Amino acid sequence: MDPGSDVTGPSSAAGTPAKQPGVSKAVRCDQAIFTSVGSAIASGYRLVAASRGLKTEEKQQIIKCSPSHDGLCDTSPEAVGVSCYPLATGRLAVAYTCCAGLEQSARGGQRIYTRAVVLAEEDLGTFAYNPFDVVRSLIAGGGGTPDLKPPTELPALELSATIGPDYGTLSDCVGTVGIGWTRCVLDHLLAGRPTVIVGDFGAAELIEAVLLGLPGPLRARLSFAAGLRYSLARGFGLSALAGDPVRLRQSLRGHEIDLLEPAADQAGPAPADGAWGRMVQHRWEQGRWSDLVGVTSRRYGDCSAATLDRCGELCARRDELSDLDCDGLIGTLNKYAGTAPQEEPAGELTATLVSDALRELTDRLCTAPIDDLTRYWGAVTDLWKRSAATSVRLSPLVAGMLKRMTRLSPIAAAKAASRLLASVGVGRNGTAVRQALDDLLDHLGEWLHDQPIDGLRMLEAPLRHWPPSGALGDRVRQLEQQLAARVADQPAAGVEAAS
Amino acid sequence: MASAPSAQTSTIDCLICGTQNPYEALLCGGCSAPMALIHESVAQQREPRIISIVGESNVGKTVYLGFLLDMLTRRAGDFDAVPKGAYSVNLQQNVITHLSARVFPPKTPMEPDQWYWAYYQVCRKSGSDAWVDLVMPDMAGEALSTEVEVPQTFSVIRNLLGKTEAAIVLVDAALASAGSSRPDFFALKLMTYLDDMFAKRRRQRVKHPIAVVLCKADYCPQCFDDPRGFARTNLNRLWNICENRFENVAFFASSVVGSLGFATGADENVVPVPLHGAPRGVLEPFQWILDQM
Repeated sequence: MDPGSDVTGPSSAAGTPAKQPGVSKAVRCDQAIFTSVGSAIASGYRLVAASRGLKTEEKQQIIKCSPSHDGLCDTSPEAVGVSCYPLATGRLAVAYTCCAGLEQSARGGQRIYTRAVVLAEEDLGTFAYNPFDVVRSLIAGGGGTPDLKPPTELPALELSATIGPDYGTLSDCVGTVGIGWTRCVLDHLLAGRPTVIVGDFGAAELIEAVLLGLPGPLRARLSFAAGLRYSLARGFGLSALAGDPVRLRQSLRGHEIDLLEPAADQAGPAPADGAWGRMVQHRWEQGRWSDLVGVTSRRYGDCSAATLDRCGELCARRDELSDLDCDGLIGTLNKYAGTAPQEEPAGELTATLVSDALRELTDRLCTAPIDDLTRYWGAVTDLWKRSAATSVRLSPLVAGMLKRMTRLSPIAAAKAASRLLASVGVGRNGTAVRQALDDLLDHLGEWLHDQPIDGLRMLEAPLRHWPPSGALGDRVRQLEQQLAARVADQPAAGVEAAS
Repeated sequence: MASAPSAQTSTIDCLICGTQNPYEALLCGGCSAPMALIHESVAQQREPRIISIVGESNVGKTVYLGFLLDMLTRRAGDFDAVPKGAYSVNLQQNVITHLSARVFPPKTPMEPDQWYWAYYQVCRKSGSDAWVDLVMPDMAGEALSTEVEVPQTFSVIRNLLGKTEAAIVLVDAALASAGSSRPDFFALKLMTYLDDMFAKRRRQRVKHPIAVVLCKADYCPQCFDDPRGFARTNLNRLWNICENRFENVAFFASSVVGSLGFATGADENVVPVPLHGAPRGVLEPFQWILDQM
């Protein structure tokens, strides 16, 4: 379950993430098994089986990156590890490591068994750019169970994204490691600094939590290992493990690899400045995992810091919408509603921000008192008039405000409509606004029957600004005639209460 | 010889792969060799000579090398040896400690940064008083096997063998005597790889000294009487390539374990138990190699 998304987040995730639960297509992957098996031909750790589609250089890389004897941090038979690394051929290897009984040469320890799945980088998008989804799918299909007598040539695998992360576990892990330290790992990855994090926490959960804070395509380019004993030779970008930090410090000395040792009593280093990092941290803190995935698991064409910060800024603005007053919401719409199309996902995030701001403003103004309606009418209609795009987007709001004013104060509504029509003319009105104007005229027609003469006279001036021609014009002329007849019939009486 | 660190940049080149490393690094960023080797080499101001112990996985490289180093430090035979740095002692300590506890040492992982390396200064007590610096890594058999099958997979092995002056090739005599062709084929592949690495010209035979050590010879004691005859008969492919391509090859028989028992492990698997150590034929190949270098 996603504990926070329903409670704290805006109504829905920002757009569509890369994975569509229930409709994801199956992805065809090659696979390989790396373990220690004795045979008449060879003995010890090697690729004991592989799909035909694997290229020699891919096999070489899998051999170099797979853990061999004593390669898991945990020495128990239940130990597991996950690793993922881009291959030189442009594909991606996702590997699941577990124990498969005792080492076959009877020299102590567990036999380490790794099944690697090789898929195209773009196919990771089917798994919401989450390698752990690939692993879950592999395990669900039985691929996590060691097979010590596989055929030399393995068939290609068909995997589909059916099982997503357990967000509760991820939240627990982030809580254990500390939000500051988790953010620190994210900052290191965004800065492209190889990092090792060591401590007593769920290594796979931590890496998955951090990965979900990275834009999808960056995840596909990151090499990482969770639960594997650290090896300098693998050269992974991120390693999370339990182990002896002293020995790790020695191995890493002199190399540009950062070692993070989270301590429970420390908040962690100061976070790097950046809207993207703040946005991710905010969602981690609130447990809004679905929302986070909705933003990060997209096909980012550009993962530069500037683009990510722009996206982070858009998300931050969206988070603040519920705290803004009408002026703030109109300000947000002024800033973002008419912006030029941007590269995805910034364009889609902007559209979501505008749509959410509009919804928030509509909710507020369509239930507002008449004073607020008349106060904001000018600003809203100015925005509505700005371009064809804003006209389309804001039509429901303008129509809603007009309807509300019609109910609360027909004269104020007539004045507002008259201001609107004087500046843009009837041709620019969207269907919803036209409908609202029609409703206003209908309402005025009924309303003026039982109004005192002073009230009726207040309607004369606004009606004069209405367009003289067209269907609306005809109706206005009709109304003017009705009004003139009523004024002629009635002597001056008390002034109509405004509403 | 490894270049002295530059005062300006504080970097130092790896002796094995040439990668430039920060002076304070403990492991080479390129091949994971311990940088202590390079620091030692710089301090000695002379190029160390590399002897590589190579062989298939589970042939007994770790045990052989551990015993050899232990015997050298215990002044066995005509030798005096000084390990340079604690890391050089770790391998022999690991082997001796495990065998004392009647278990074989654990497998050597394929990850190069998990290998043991030994840097020793060795001299003969009699005769020449010249000390020779020797570097001997304990490579994982699987890594070697992979590199032999698909060259360039483990560049550390290729670089290391490229700088090797002599090699001790371990072959499982017990398996060969039992009729398995695997040791013969592996040795054949390995020798073609070494031929490729060592031969200066295709028509010339390799001059590097190669000691072929028939391991686990306690299973086939006839090895000790006539190692060449054993190789010619049971490892004929190896024998032939040695005759054709290698000028300086000698055959030795060796065993380390005096007697072996078998026990049943917790999950019913059979575990060999080395009951006591009785090294035999461990020093001779090394002695011969030094004579040839």
